[in-house]
Amino acid sequence: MTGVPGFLQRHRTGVTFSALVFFCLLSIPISNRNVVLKPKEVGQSFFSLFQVTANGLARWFSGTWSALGELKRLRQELGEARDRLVEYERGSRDLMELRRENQALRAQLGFAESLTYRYIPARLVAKDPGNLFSTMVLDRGSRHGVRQGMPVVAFQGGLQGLVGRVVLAGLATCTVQPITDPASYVAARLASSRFDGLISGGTSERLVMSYVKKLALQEVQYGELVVTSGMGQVFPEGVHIGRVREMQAKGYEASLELEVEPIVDFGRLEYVFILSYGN
Amino acid sequence: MDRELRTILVSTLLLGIAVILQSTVLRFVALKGVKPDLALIVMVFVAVRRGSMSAQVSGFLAGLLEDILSLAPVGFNALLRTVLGFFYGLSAGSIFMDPVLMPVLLVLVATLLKGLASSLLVVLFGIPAPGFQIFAGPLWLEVGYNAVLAPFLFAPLRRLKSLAPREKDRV
Repeated sequence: MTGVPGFLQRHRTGVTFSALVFFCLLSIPISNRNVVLKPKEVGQSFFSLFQVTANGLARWFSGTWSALGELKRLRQELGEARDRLVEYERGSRDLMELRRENQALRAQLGFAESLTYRYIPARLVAKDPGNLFSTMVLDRGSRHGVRQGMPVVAFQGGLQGLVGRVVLAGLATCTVQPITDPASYVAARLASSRFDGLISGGTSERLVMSYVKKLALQEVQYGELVVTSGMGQVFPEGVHIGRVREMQAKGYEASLELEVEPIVDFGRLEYVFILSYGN
Repeated sequence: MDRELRTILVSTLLLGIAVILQSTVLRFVALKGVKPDLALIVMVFVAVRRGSMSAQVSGFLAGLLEDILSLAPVGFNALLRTVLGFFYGLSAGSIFMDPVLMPVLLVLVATLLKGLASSLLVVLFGIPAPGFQIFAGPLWLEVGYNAVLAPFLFAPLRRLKSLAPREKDRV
């Protein structure tokens, strides 16, 4: 084979490599978040089914595994009295687990009743496959009424904390950009001293509040609550974001930079509420 | 079916499963929020056993899936995995694979290269993600995690006929 087909055949690995790299280099700047959301939504709707299934399977396997373990243990017990005791212990454990779950759900329900906006309760089903981005996937999508831009909150430690906002709404799932993402910005206010600023994500689960007037240095307290200011109408006003951990005042800068620890512990996030706000 | 096509199909399926596991089950075993990159380990195995073509195509497809499920721009992970798959594939047939040392070494270097390349892409394209800051902590955890898991993942993968070394690459 000669000519172009011959060349392509001889160098097909290199040609394929060049074509794939070319495609990637072209699509990265185009899709840098905003332009091709539609194909991503379609893809997300499809592939998230696998995520939901995998999550369900993991729960099923873990349940089955626990049940098998329990069965094996029970078989080892011979005496009837001991069997009864084991049964009782298991019953007691189940009861305690049910009580704990009941309490948690009641707490969520109680908190939910305190929400002033219409809300959609959701469960975290997946996170980003890699370690560089901080995507979260919830089990509620456009068919449940979720729309792009909706704020997401959670209740932890008796406080309502801001989680992030919906950036992609698939059919049955949605993708949330957490406030810890470096591309996330939230208009914020110090709850007591009332100074405004802008919260952005950091490299770890620490937030940075910038553009706070230097005047605030005298009034801001360590541990002071930071809440959403409601400016820009992206997030409702008064939702807790975090607490001031550190303050930095550089001589050559006109504003303060505060390090804020989020109210929400993203490592143990399970249930959240998607607020119908700004839609 | 053509042997190479079958390899691509099998490795793409394996990588796809790895990506789904990374986003769901593996978050429960994350160390300080850092998960192992199973897809990278599998791709390194495919590359050194079956060469550039299979590794780059399956790496590209798995990367694309990762991009769809993530906030990363489409093409970001696809590019990383295509490039790594291609260059690692060039070594097919020239590496003697012992059960422990080589898997650890290959995966360790691949994770470091992935970290370096992703930081470069973040800076070059202005992608809103931590760039070289990952070298300050999370990357080293991922390097260790991947390196430790590599021999355990390579062992069952060796049993797959579709991923057996090509005739010309047998050492």
